[in-house]
Amino acid sequence: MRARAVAAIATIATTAAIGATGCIVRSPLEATSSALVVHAVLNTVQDEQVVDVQRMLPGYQSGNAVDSALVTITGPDGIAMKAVEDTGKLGTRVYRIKLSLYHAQLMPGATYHLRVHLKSGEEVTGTTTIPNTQPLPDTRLELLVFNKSRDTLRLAWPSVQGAASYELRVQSNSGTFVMFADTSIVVAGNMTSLEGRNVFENGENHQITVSAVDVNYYQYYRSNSDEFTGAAVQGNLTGAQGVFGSLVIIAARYLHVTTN
Amino acid sequence: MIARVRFIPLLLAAFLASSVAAAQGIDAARPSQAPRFLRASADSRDAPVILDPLTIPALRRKIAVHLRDIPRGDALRQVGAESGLQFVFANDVVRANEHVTVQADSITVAAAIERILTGAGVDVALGANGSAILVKKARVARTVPRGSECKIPAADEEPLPLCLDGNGVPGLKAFVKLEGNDASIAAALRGIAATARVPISLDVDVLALHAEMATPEGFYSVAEALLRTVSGKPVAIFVTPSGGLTVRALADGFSLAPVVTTAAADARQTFELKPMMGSLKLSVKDLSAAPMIFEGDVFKSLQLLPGVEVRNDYSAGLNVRGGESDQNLILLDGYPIYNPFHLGGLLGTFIEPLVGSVELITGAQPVRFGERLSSVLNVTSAEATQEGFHGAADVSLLSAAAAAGSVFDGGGSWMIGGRHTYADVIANIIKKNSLPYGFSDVQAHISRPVFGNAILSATGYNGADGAQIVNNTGDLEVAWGNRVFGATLSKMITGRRRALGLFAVDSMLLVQRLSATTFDARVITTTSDFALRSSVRDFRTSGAATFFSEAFDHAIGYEISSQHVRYSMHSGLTSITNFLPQGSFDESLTPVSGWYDAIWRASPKLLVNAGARVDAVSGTGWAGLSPRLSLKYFLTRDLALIASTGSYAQWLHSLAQENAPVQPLEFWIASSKAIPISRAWQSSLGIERWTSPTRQLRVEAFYKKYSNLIETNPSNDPLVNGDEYIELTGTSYGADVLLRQLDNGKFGGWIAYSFAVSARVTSGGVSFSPGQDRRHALNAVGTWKVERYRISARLGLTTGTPYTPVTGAFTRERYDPVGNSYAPDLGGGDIQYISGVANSARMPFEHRVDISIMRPGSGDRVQISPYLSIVNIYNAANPAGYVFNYSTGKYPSRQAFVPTPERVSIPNLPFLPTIGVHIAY
Repeated sequence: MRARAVAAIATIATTAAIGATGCIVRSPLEATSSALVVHAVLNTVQDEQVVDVQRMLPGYQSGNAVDSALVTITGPDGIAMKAVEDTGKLGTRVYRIKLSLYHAQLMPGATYHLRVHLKSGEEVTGTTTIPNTQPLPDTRLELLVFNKSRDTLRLAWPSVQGAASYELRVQSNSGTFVMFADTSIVVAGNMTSLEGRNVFENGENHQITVSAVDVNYYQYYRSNSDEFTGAAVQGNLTGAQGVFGSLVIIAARYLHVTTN
Repeated sequence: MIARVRFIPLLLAAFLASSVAAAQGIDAARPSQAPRFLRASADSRDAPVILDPLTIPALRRKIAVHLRDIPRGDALRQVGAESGLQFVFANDVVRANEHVTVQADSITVAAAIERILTGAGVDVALGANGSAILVKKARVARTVPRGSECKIPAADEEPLPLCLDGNGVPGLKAFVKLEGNDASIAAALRGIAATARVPISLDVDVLALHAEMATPEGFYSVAEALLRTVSGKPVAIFVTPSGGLTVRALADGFSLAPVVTTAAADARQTFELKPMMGSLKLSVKDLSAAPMIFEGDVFKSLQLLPGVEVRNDYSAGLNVRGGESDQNLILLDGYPIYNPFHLGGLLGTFIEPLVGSVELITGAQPVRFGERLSSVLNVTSAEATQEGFHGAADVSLLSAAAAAGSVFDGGGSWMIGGRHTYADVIANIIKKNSLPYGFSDVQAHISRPVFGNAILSATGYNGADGAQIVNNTGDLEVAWGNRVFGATLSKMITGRRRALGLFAVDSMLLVQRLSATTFDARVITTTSDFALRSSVRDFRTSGAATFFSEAFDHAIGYEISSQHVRYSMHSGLTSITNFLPQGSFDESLTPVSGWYDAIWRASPKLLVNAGARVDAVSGTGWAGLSPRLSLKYFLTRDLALIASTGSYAQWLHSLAQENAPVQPLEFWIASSKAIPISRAWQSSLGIERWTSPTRQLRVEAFYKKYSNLIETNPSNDPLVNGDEYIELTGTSYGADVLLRQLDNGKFGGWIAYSFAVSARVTSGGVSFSPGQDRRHALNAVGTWKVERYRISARLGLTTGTPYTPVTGAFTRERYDPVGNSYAPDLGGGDIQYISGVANSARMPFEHRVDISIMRPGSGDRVQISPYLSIVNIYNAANPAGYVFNYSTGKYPSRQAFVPTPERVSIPNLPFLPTIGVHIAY
């Protein structure tokens, strides 16, 4: 009996070893393709609007900078506001438009047009309509104590005309969680992601924001591509991957998280 | 030895010949020198009659015959050519080389046959399709009683041969259902007799028949079941003065038509008697021709049949003739079951020792089956046929199964079995907590005679799968399970009468069913805002009355169901919505159906099956008619053309993503006023030929047109109700070929080739190939008996299924509204793929060989049969899907970076040796 058991286990071990390596085939893919990627989200509380322009090359973890692009945003008054090339937080190339230079503000409910013109002649365009509500004037709020063992975060807000959804963002030094909701959300203190990461980390301060987002933003960030079904992320740009969307921050909390 | 053997007609004829003698009281001791003409009824249940040949048009025809001193066999062939009759006989029945002379310018066919066969000692049994089967008269008659002898002998008399009417023994008039399992003849005789509470004794020579299998199937009186079981064997059954039975060997070699294997009966009987297309009925023995994957599995074997496709080794669903995987009605003893799979489709739920037979209808489903568009799979429970406690057990690397059963003293039988996996235990020995998963099944079946000669049977099944992961970041609970309980009351009423005051019938079969089926699945993480729940509650009652007569089988039936189908999925933090939509459905339906079905034996060459089904589905506001028609025309007795057309409807749909390479389960939703009923119209044309008594060739072409197919919408919006699914139209066409060698004692198996082309069209007019659109598949399956070993092998060759190519990838940046900056997206959403045209690429050609070697046990009381099974013996790299990595590269030098994007295959089962043992006791 013991011999049989050993034989059985040896069989499984062999099988597992072969299964782990034996039939996997790695095929090289063409490394010549590239993808132009533009991310542009208008934020009504910011004077400076940021447009991220990258070119993804196969083999690279992140996009490569795209220099000397002509980036403009045109509002309902018809004035094309031109962006200035700059470096983003993570060293990526971004284009910034300072609204005050044009004596302008983003108008809730208004429609804006994005145009990105590259030296190569490629052109990217998109349109967004900002959710029609005034933004929260200040996200620097009183720090509240949140006991993650006991407390539950409950938020509710009025619906906003032109908002396709609402994004809850929980941000701390340990990471950021985002999720879409309708006009309310309940987040238990012990909530985790499917990977097992805590939404609320003990001892840290957490910035909570709720933003009304337009349909472009919502569709782009709620969708995911996958290799199996062929599903693709739902961007709204012509000429590039990415999004031109808009959001308005409508609620915020500032929490210090503790536990029992 | 055998000149021309056509198994079934011979078997029927042999049976007929014996029965005629019994029924007609013919003096068998002094047989006439001239042949008699006998009528073989279609199902051979009725006592055969001696015909007046002049009432038969084919025999009444006048022909010119000029045969001078030629062998009798040649003479018969010439008369056959003139008359259209096809003579079938064995050389040991007719002395075919004996010379005869017949000369006449105008003589009836009957007279010509009489002259050729006078003195040959045979009768002519006319088959249903123009065949004329020669059967010995004298020896057959010796073994059967005359009409006056159909009784219980007096105390001082010798035992009398058993008659069809049971000789007046009460128990022999009861009805039994023969399941055609692997019982030996001796065991079957004992089991049948036990059902009737009639004592039986077998003499020593009969016990030698332990080695031979008895596999007749169907509903018979006990007497007929006993006679069928020994048909063609050198034994006879006698009734003793005490009303018991004794089975004796015939000393002089009882010479009925040769029987090669009784398994031939099913396939050939279907060919001769049913105009259905795409119908395959297989016993577990037939299915075991396929090599085992871990252990014997009905579903894995079914995947090798013509017209049946699977996406890969990890998909639970069958795709039949281009249809989606949710279009198959799966029944256990006629009761529906919704997700009969374990391990994500790697195993079926049915415990093999408890499976008697499997019927798969890939084409024209009879009208008694509704609810699905593509196929019907009916798994029939095995029934114990032996007295005492008997059973079987299987031990494999994955699980252990055991079954036991017996016959009741008062008739009927019971069987119960279970299976439990220990794969988790073994896997966890190799790596701790590597497989926190388990499954178990319990299945039971019982049948008892009640209310006189009615049969009450009941089947229960409970299967459960589950995995639970508990750690400090939260619990994950995954569980699903099927439960089925059903009961059937059936009663065969014999005797000529008028049915419903409309038409004369010879017998009728009444069947009433009740069943309850549930399916529950849940995937819940207690802390991750993720919950998936799916459930089905199906309660139904159905009934049917079938009226048998010589030319018609009329059947009417009804079905009333209560179906409650729920689905809900909420996932705040994950992207699983590509595979399953976020949303909730809660629908209750009450489908009410009625149907009429008729098989009309219009002529010896033409069989017609026509019927219609009316379904009204409350909760949807839909009612519809589904007419169906099948025709079979015999060009010769071994060659028939078959055509069918019909309409089908389906109101339960699965949300499983058909394009996903892995489909562990179907998640059901129901039609409603918003979700339409799916419809299909399918037509088929085929030809079937029997090239020998054990070799079947079938070619069928099909065309299916679908409307309102419900498919998962991969772009569904969790905040929008009603976008969880999309509606498609489409077509499937193709053909499948089956070349089957029935088990002849040394070899059995089949070659199945399936060709199918499918297209689906979105509401926007975009046409694409669905994920199951595998164009070509060929499976060659065989089992050889080599000395003391049984060797099974399977060669599979398939072309690839379509997939959507990935042409690139990019990093999705997420905007931070507080920091006013961008960073790679969260929660694993940073890498996004750029897809090409939907399903515009195809997986590569696949090939694989599997083998199993078993050494069947030979013990008297316990047979232990160890086996070795090797899947994918040469480790062919057959991908089940691909993952793409566009963000890799290497530095061949310090300065240079060379991108090396790659596509990595997810393999189907690799080289996989497993061992196990089958134990029968």
